[in-house]
Amino acid sequence: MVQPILQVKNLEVEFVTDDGIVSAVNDISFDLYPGETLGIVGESGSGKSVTNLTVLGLIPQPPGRVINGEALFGEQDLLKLSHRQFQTIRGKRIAMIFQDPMTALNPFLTIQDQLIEVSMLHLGHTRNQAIVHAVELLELVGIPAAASRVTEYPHQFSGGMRQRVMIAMALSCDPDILIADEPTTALDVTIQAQILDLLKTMQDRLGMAIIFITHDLGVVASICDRVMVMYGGRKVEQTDTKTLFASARHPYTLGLLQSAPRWDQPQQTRLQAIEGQPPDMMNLPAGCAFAPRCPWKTDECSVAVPELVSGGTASPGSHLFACIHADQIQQTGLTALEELPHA
Amino acid sequence: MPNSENTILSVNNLKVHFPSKRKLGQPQRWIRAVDGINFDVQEGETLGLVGESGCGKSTTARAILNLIHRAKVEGTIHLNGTRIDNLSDRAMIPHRLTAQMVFQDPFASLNPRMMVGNIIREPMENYKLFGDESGRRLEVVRLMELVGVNPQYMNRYPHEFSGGQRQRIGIARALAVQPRLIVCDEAVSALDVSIQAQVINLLMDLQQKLGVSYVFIAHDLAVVRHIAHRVGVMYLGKIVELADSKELYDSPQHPYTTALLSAAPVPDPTVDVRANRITLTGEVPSPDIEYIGCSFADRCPQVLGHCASTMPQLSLTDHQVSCLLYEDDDVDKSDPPKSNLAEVVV
Repeated sequence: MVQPILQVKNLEVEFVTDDGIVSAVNDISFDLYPGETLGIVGESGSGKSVTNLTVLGLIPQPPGRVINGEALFGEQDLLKLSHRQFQTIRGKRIAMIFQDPMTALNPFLTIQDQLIEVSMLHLGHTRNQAIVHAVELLELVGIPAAASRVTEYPHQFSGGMRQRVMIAMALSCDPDILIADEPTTALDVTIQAQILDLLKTMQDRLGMAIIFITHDLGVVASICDRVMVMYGGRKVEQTDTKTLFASARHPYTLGLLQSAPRWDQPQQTRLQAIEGQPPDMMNLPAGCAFAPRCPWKTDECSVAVPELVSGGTASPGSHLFACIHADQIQQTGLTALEELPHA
Repeated sequence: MPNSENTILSVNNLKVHFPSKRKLGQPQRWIRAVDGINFDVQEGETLGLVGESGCGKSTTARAILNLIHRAKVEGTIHLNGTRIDNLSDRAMIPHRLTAQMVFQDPFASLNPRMMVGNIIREPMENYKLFGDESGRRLEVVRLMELVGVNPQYMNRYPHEFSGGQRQRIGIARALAVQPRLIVCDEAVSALDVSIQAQVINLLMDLQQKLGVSYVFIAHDLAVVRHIAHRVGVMYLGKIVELADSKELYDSPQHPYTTALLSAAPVPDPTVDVRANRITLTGEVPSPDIEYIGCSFADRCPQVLGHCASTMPQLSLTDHQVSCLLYEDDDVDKSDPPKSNLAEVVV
């Protein structure tokens, strides 16, 4: 039995704002296994980024507040680490790449100065060793003429190249976990394809686990092993990628799968949009947060937050979903939404 | 010239060259953002424009509405039969009744200090439409209902709405003067998938109800495939392929289109995208160079010997493509030269 490398349990995070309390993450638990890619999918404000920033200790407190939960990395609970303790882990054993390669790099420092900082701090390299290491990394992530380009500034690199630099920086200390927060969203499709390939190749070579945050189901299909779907700060469904696309059980997941225009769909037809608006995180509805937009909604849905139940056939817990109508949805499947009059 | 009565927009050999920052002792260089494009849009039609960042999509959008300043603009643009590219801002005013724009960022494109009802009403007031105040108020209510925003909220401010709702308000504002053409520049790109679908449906419904035409600019190929009747693919300021949407997606001809389509992620884990993908090497070259030959030649997987030295012409068929592979003269199909592209500096 492989032990998970990261176990997040019952995480709850809220933000105190002038207008009230925003419950950004509600009771999120997940395991991450070595060498796998876990996708986290959800709309803006669904808590996917906050979950991961919390795990990395990057939520400013205040206004943020971790109410409950633990994030076990080996024996250590990341949520209990001091700032100083965290610095031995962040960047070294858990690294992160951000969405916007334009703003994530410091425009005043050369690529070299930004890259060597990591390995001088964590690996005890001298400046010269670190420069050699930095050039190796840039070559690894496919930057041509790395030895000469390393002394250039970020503005001299294109968006795709900057994202490669970010990846090189993240991989600098051979981390156990790489958290990628929408790393390809700002990039063109051809460059996105290159970066996804690069991440996969790096994973094959270095064996790190990847948490891949995205809202693009196409990206999920091409890179993730397992997927967790979040809505209103909660996990609503989790399973392996194939099962998710073939037999999703939560109405929100189904809605997402249906609302993206597909290549095999007739053109100029109406898309199966999810009606309504994303929930107000300051004022989440009682019961299921998705109920106001859900075509399967009944009165029971507003009574209590649905429990995550296991419906996996392969092994217990292989397919989790939080919907009291999941059985009905399984029977009707993807066609169901089209048949429902108000869908 | 517009070639039929139903042509709402006709763009002929449009070039937009921005001056780049001049370095001491060096000649002025020009960023060739749009470099000789032709297309027209019929009444009730959606023309999609796709391409990577920097290919000139947004510049094209702005040029259509005569919104480009401080640049060298050549070629002609006819809007509803009238030439508009040479008009001053003031002379342009009556023509803004014909063409409107919906912008990408629903957070930046609405004035945060105006109530949404006033945002939608302002264009009507500017053009003295719908009689008096009460007539305009009724029209605002009608438009808000049309785009699916509760008219009771007309006294709220933009920050009180979500991104999707704001984009609906932006669409209502564009519709306020009853235009015949709406240019949507990445109008759904900033929205979440589920909301994006709502707005795409709205745009298609409006087209059916009002017969409005769209120039729909986006980088998401699946979205453009869905909404557009015809699609143009842009690369480095040029249209390299333009065809009926189904035709273009089912049988792309230009090597760049093929590569672009193969790179799009498919939401189906059973499809091995990587097996079919044509990975382009390198990046889009600098737009301040004028090429003698095809500007895609140094990244093209099917490059021929004379590609770097012969400028391909857009074919004048229904399925327009600008590639020497489809020009049937006795061409030199030898191996490509190993050197870089031939270039002329202007």
